[in-house]
Amino acid sequence: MKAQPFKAIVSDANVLIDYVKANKKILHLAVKHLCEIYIPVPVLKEVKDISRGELEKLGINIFEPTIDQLIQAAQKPFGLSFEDQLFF
Amino acid sequence: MTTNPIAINLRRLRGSRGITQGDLAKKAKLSRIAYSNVENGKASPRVNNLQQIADALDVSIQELVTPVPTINSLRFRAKKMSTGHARDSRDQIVAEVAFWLRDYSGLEEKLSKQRPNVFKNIKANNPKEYAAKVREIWKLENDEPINDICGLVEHAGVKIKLLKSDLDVFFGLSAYDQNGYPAIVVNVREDISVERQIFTVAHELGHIVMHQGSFDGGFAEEREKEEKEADQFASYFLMPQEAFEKSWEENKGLHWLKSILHIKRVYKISYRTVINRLVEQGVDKKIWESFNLEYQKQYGGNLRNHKEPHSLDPLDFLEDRLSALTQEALAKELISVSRAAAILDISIEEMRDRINAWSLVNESATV
Repeated sequence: MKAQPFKAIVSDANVLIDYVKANKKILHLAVKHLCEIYIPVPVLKEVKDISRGELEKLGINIFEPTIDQLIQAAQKPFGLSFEDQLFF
Repeated sequence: MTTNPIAINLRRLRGSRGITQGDLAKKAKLSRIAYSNVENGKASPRVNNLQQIADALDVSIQELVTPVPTINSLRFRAKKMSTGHARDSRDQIVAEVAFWLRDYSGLEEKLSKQRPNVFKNIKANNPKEYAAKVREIWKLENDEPINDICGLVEHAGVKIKLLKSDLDVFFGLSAYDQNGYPAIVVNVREDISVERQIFTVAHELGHIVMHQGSFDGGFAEEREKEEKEADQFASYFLMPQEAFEKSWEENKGLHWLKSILHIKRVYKISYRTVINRLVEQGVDKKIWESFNLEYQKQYGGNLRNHKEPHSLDPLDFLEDRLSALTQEALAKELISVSRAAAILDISIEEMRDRINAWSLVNESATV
């Protein structure tokens, strides 16, 4: 049986900003050699220097959370932001 | 009436921008009926449609799905709201204040930095006496100008928010958070002079000190008597009578126009506050007209539309306690970077720049 590929979600815009500022191509290498990468739209919206199209070209999957996930994230504990809470 | 937070938020945000359902639907690339069903709570939107609406309103999707926290004690300073747009704008201000107050109180709690409410038990007979007592609590000399009203008030545990609103009848409000700590919000729109913004802080402080029983969470029109008392409090708090008399005496050699302008600069108040004080002292009300004419003669400009002559700079009116608490909470890893950005209502990229700026100064300070 073929093993399922690892999947990773970038839930913190800071991580994405760091990679974009350092070298966008790292993201493509990560997709190619390490795992599938997913970024939720609300996290992408926080990053100015890269577009959805560019990320998709690098092999990254952009996806929309469900309404329920959004509503749950809005009931966050104090220390985390809405985006931090989306997938925790 | 719907209790669906998405519907409530949409209605308020759209109304405060003064746009129709049709205009917003078009901007969000939706049919008017589809949009209307979401705003009326009749349909649950698909997330991509909600994102399109958020983009059209230029807000985050979070603002559409998060219920606005309740503020139990609020005093909104504004004249009568005669249009739906004005009422929605007012509700939008209250929503922004509610989130800000919740975050600010949360930070204070996390950091154990709540400050006692020192205004609770002050008793006096009139606004002038109240102003003197507050100055006494803060150990201000009788003739001492207040150079940093935000710093002073924040130090005493009153939260301050500077907010820009296009609602032309709105200058400020005061409120209490869920723990009973007071807060003041000031409209810092560009056409409102810094002097007026400073006066608003003092005016709202007057309400907090003198009218604690009238914070009911409602939007009653301004109560004339209380407003006059708060104005009087503000005037005497910013410029005690002794200070005014001393300055007027010291300026005896100056032309009266220059004396008014000088005093207004010293105490960071409007020329109107100085003239009002002169009128209170028995000077003829014609001084208003004379001031305008004389000003025009000496300086060549007129003072229409609430123009403030020789006015202060926005740098004279800054608040920083929330930012300092956020910095501390970040350093102690009590909040994430994106949460810090949300608390300060800035983007993550701006937050990163700010963190770099903080590090730069802190590192330089330790060298």
